[in-house]
Amino acid sequence: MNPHLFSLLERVHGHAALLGLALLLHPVFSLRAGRLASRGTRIAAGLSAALIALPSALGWWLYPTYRREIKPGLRQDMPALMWAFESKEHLAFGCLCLTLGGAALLLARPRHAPSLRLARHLLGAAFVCGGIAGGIGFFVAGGTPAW
Amino acid sequence: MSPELRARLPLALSAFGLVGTASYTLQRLYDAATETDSGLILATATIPYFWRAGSAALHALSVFAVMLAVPSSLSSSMQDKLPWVVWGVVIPCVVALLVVP
Repeated sequence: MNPHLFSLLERVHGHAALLGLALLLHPVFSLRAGRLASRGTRIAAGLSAALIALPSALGWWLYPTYRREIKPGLRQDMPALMWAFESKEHLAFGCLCLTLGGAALLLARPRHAPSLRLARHLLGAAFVCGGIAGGIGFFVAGGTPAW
Repeated sequence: MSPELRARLPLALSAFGLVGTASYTLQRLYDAATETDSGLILATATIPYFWRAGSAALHALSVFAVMLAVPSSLSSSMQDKLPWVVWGVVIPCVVALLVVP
């Protein structure tokens, strides 16, 4: 993979994941106080799951190139950034698992308040993981030298 | 979707999310405790991150399948407590993954 394509895909990965994170807030807020899940809430949950799963897949595709071309230099010159990137990867995986669980629960059209409350908490926990991962992503992207 | 299956889904799907996160975290903590030099990790042909993520996904799917077999009455009765379980699992995992990158 050439550096320009890597750089472009890395930006697509980051921006799409942030969009997915922002969409994740819709069901978290719209399901508060035991409200029923509207069609819009279910669509937002499904879209956020897709917008978190697709950038994750793109990130997995880019990871071997990062590991081969960028990580050794980071390890030598900026180890704090390298470790921050590792934390981002770990938290992003947690965000993906929780988002898929919460979104699938909402898409199954639960009718009882406890199920909706559970979906809201799963998606809220996914947002916490993803929000921290996104914050670290900004920090790493700002400090990492271009390949 | 049958009402029985619908009643089992909340427990099964929350188990999927939580087991995936917890399994990944435990594997990472184990790796961090046993790896001798992080530089050597770069020299390995396989990518530990993919192994951890793949194993965690397999664990999550296995527990999801098992939870689909749990009686729907048990699944329904546990739903009130599950939001506490979500945060009880996720917060320690987040802290652990930040402290042990």
